[in-house]
This record gives sequence, C-alpha cells and structure tokens, in this order.
Amino acid sequence: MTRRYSLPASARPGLVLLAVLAGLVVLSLASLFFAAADQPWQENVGYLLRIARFTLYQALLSTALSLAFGMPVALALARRHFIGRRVLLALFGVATALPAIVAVFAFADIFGRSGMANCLADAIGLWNIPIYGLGGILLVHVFFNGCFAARVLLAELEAVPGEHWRLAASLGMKPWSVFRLIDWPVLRRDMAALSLLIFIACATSFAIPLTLGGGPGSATFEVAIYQAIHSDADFSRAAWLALLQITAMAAVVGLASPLLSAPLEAGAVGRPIPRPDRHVWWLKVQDILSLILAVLLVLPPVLAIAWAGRGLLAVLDPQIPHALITSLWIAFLAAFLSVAAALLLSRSRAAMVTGGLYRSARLMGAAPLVTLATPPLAFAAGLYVIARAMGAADVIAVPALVLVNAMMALPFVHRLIDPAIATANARYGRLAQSLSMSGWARLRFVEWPLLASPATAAFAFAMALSLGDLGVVALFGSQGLVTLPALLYSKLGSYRIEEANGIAALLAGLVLVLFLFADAVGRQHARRR
Amino acid sequence: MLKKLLIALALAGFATAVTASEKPRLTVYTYESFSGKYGPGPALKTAFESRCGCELDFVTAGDGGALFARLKLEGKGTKADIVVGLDDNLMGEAEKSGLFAPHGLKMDALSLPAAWTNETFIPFDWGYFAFVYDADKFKAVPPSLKELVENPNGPKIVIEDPRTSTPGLGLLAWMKAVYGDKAADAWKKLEPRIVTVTSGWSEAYGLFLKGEADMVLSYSTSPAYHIGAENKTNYHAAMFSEGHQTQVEVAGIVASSGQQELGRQFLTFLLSDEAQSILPETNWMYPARTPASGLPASFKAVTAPGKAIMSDPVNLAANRKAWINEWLAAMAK
Repeated sequence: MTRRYSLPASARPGLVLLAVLAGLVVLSLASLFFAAADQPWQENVGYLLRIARFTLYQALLSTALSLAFGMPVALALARRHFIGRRVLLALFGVATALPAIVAVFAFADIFGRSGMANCLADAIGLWNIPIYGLGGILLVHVFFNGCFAARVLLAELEAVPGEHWRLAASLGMKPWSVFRLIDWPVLRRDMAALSLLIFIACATSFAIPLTLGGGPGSATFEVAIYQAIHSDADFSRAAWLALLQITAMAAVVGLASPLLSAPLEAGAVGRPIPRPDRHVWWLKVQDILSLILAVLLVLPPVLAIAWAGRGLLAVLDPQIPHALITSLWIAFLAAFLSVAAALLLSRSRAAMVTGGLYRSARLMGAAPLVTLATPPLAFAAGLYVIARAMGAADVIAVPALVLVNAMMALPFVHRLIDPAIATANARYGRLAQSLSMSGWARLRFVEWPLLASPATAAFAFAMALSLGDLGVVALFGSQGLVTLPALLYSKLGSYRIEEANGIAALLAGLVLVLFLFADAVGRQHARRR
Repeated sequence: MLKKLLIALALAGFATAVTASEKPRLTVYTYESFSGKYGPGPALKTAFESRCGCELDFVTAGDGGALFARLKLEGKGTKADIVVGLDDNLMGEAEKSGLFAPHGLKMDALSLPAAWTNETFIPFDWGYFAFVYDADKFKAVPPSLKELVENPNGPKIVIEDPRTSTPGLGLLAWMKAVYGDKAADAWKKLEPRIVTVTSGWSEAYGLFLKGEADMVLSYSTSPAYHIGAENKTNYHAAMFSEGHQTQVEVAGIVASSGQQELGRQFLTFLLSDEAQSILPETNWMYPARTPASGLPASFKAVTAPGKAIMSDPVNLAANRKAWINEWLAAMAK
C-alpha cells in the first residue's frame, strides 16, 4: 500500500451527483437573482435577525423533543411485538407525509380551542391546552419528525446482529448494560445525522410556525423568502435570502460534522434473536407508557382526518381520480430518482470510509441536507427562469415538480438508506471488492438483503412526501397538471371545506396503504436472506 | 408487476395531454379557484368560446400573488394573453411592470362604490372585507371596527398575515384608514384577542369553521356561499359603522400578446350581462356591473355594508413595507 488516502473509483458517481445537485441549486438561485436585478434594495435587517433567531430557537427545541420522543418509542417498538405494531409503524409514515394544512386542521380538531382535548378538559375541569403558540409548533413538529426519528432508530436497532443478543443473554446482561453496550452505540451513531436532518427540516418549515404560532413573531426565515416571491415579486431578494439560508444551514452542518461518526465495523450476520431485556417489569412499564404516548400523538389526528372526510364518497367528483393518477405518477418518478440518488451518495460515502477518507465521508454523509435547506419555491422559480432561457418553459412543470420533490425527499431517503449501505460495506465491502463486484451486481447480491427493508420504506416516504406536497404546482400549474394537494387547495379556496376534507382523508388513506405495502415488501425481501 | 404498474401509470399520464386545434387561442392566466370546477372559469369558457369561435385556455397559478410572481418571472416572453384575478392592491405594481396594454374600453354603468378610472385594468368583480361569525355561537357582535379593537372582552378573531395574503393586507389598510397614525396602538389593543395569524385565507376560514375563533376576516359575501350552496343561514358578516375596506378584482391584456383584439373582446365579454350573472355564485363576490337579472337570491339575503373604503393603489404600493413593519413591531410580544 503506497498511498494512505485514496478516492476509490466507486466513490465518483456519488460525488458527481453531489456536484450536479449543488450546481443546480447555485445556478437556479443565480438565475433568479438576475431575473429581476433592477429592483431597489430595501432590507430590514433587524426583522431578518429576529425571525432568524426564532427559526433557530424553535428548530432546536423541536429537534430535542423529537429525539426525546423518538428514542424511547423506538426502543419500545424494538422490544415489543404486538398486534397493530405494523399499523402503528405505517401511521408513523403517514404522520411524516401529511400536507401542512391537513395536519394543522387535524390538530385544531383535536387540540384546538374547541377541539376534542379541550372539550374533555372542560368536562373534567382541567385548564385548556393552548395550541396557538410555541407549544403548538413543537407539538406538530414532533408529530412530523418524532415519528420519522422513531422509524429510523427502530430500523437501526433491528439491524443489530443476532449474535449480540445471544451474547448478552448468555452473559446475563442487566437492562442498563444492554442499553449502554448494545443499544446506545447503535442509536448514537445516527443521532447526530438525524438531529441535523430534523433541525433543518424544522428550520425550513413554513406554514406550521406561521399558522400555529399565534402571531407574526413566530415566523421562520422561509416566510421572508415566500413573501419575497409571492407577495413582493422581488426575486433578487428571494435569491439572496435563499442563499443566506443555505449558507447558514451549511455552517450548522459544518460545525456539527465532528459529531457525525463513521459506522461501526459490524461482525457476523445472524438471524433475528429475541432481546434478553424484554421481561424486566419496569422496562415493560416504560415501553407501555412510550407506546401509549406515541398512539395518543399519532392516532387522534389521523382519525380526525378520516372522520372529517367521511363524506368523501358522496362528493366524489371526476377530477379526483385524474388528480390521483397525476400525483401517483409524479410521486413514483420522484421517489425513484430520490432512492437512486441516495444510493449513489451512500455508496460514495462508504467508498470514502474504505479509502480512509473519514472526514470527507462525514461531510458526504451530511451533504444531502443542502437540498433540504434550499427553499423549494425559490429553487423552482430559478429552474423556471433557466428553462425559459433555454426555450423549454412549456414542458418544465412536470420535470421541475419531479426534481423538486425528489430533492426534498432526498435527505430523508438518504437517512434511511445510508446506515444499511454502510453496514453492507462494513460487512461485505472487502469481499465484494476482491470479487470486483460493482454497480448492479453489488446492489443485487451484496446490498439488497440489508437494503430491502429501508429502501422500500424510503421509497414509500419519498412517494408520500411528494403526494402531500403543494410546492411547485402553486406557481406553475396548468389545467392539465392537477395534483391532489393542488386540488385540495383549490377546493378550500372555493369554500368547499367538506370536499377538501375528503381529499385529505383520501391522501392519508393512500399514504397508509403505501406504507403498509412497502413495509410488507421490505419484510418479505429481508426474510429471504 | 412493478413494470406493468409503471407502464399503466405512464400511459395514464400521457393520456391527459392536451391536443392542439386550428382555432385562434386565447391564453388566460388566472388563479386556482377561478378556473377550478366550482369557479366561474368553466362556464365563462363555454360561453365565450361559443361567441368568438376560438379556444380559451386557462393557466393557473396558486392565487393572485403567485399569479403576479409568475407573470413577472416570465416577463415579456409570457404566453399569457389575458390575466384575470389580480386585485387592486397589486394593480400599482402590475402597471409599473409595463407588462400590460391599455384596455381602451369605456368604463360606464359599473356597480362599484366609486368610478373606475384605471386605463390598464378592468374590474370584473369586487367585495367588502368583513368579519364573519356564526350567529348560533356568537351573539355579542361589535358594531364598529373601533369596538372590535377596543373592547377587551370582545370576540376572539383569526386573521391572515399581510405579508403573505391579500385579506391580511386589506385589514392593514382598513386599520390605517380608520385609525391613521394611531394604527400601531390599535393593533396592540387587538393583539391579545387574535387567536392566530394564518398564512392564507383558506387556513383562516377553515379554522373558523372548526370553531377555533368567534370571527374570521373574510368577505361580506362569504355568508352568501353558505346560504346559496349549503342552505345554512347562521353565518353572518358584521357590519361596521366606519365602513369596510374593498377589494376589486381586475383583468388586463398583456402587452406582448398577439391576440390584442381577441383579448379586448374577452374583456368586453367579462363585463357583459352573461358573464356578470355567472360570477356571483361561482366566485362569491359582487359583480362589477350588476346584470339585468339582478343579484341572485343568496346575495340579496346578505347585508351589504353601508360605506365602502376604496383602496388607493399608489398609496398602498408606496407605504406597504412601512405599514407591515409597523404592524410587526406592534404585534411583537
């Protein structure tokens, strides 16, 4: 071995992809900036600082709470198998993928001033729960991100080799030792990356903080960007603010990167073995409480949506199947792109780890977050300017929608897929390299058995995120391109709240079925190994 | 199986493509709910196409603001011939952009509260902003804006954000018209009773219907929808003695359009009796020129405010940022 650090050839596709993504973002923001560069520059720096401060503050709190929720729930689900476990996991997926306005209405139904929880509280004599304020924002953020965290952490816990449990059982390990020696290292290695993801997702959230925040002071930076495009049509300002946001998030990622750890070298593979700490009574109590909390958080809003939309069949109009097919088709393409991109990026990272480039590997692991930090509206507007310059403005809507959705889903998909690829690389990387397995063969034989479960879940996530996203269509729709969320908004705008509720219920049901199906496929493939 | 699903989805997707035709095309940019199934779009399209022997295409953006943003992004190369759905708040900016041609039509016999003098845009419908409430649940209706603001035991309200929605901006202008320089203090007094500030009208109205607030900032014609489409008579709009801020929706011909004559025909059609009788019960706003058949029953059942406060686009465009900053400062907790 002559060189200590070397970039393996298999890392290159991922790096090229990353460069393309970054280039696309920069190019689109630059085009947006120059699209209307003749605007007078008026900036209220104090205002921007205030909302930046609030953005970071609520994102920090949301991240901490989401992890505080996700960890015990993941442990509880890892320890316990019960009837309805699969449905609960699928509901976690639904929670992550609901459009913001649907979630807001559902939470208003349950926790609002005249919601069920307050009616109950009034009946018992307790004080009312204030949802409009920081509490409401945190609650909905935990709903979205805590469920995702639970799924990611659970996937990690379930990937622990069976040998570890056998050893723990034969050593007679106490629950605390099990946690300290087996669970915690597994949880900790993804904690930093997961926290970054949740932090950026909460920092770039737009409608939730504004609507549930109770007042204009609880606005995030995205509000300023949205205002610049939508209300002021001040594109250069929008581009500038978008760049600022991306830079700030990149700085956060850079600061946190020493905490991003490389995956552990895993030992042999084994069949699943039951955990030895399942029978401890106080863990049983803790798990039951965690699961009850999870169910209380996730089930009522979904039930509220289903109940509000129960009149769906009565108002079924022919636009809905059309919008459904359009949405599914776009979601499918976006999910495919997203998973493929995440695969390439993960492989790149794994190759870097093999080549000894640990620092680069850490940054590579955090690189997809840049797409989350990019405001979708500004990015799409920039893409539109580029398309017009190239004369392709007519056909840009669908590709732009697919691209924006794929980029939006990429960090989440990557977070689900990366650990599996890293483990596969750690276990079989050298063997595969010695057999010169790469590309398709590597995917099929080396990575797929470990990847099946996370990849199908990630595909479902990406599809669900795309199905629920209003995004680009609001700016670039046409009569031929109607997606389900656009139809929902259109109905809301015409006072047809009942029908909008129906579409929301349809969306939630669709995503639920999607997750159940994806989880089943993943389980089937994982069992084959 | 996956392959078959892919092919099926792809075919279904391609099956929705629009086919070309021989007649002259008029491309109308408008907002989502205008051209949607329940909006005026479909009926107007059928009526106009039968008159002109042309093809009318609607292209939608989210709402008025998104419409203008898209138009500015497209600039002189836009495919739009007509833009329908900007409002009088955006009119000033739209005129400055130089994207629109003068309409050259005579603006007489309109049913607006004041004469229409703008040369570039024509009004097609209008409404009053008003606070809507459910008479079954809320009885202590304030008779004036001042009463709403100054009574500490007044109703809990939900409003829209002026940064992101036109009703929000309308309320800002309304408060300025009533309170003038004292608007900041007025907002401070109102602030404890604002349940939340939403990003758009849909969220606010949805939250109101769920019972989250006693009153919502909407239009005085919102109760007409409930009467006309749902047969519910419990929703009313509070009438304020100082008068109500108005919002006028406008349409204009794009300067770079190749269909100037056809466009002018469409604008004339928009103000015709046929179009103006379609508009009320689809867009739920007052028609700009009341048709000979008069207003529909649901509109007659709704009280119209006695006094209108028309917006001044020039003043608004000049002061909007300052007013929003003042509002933000007043609302900071």
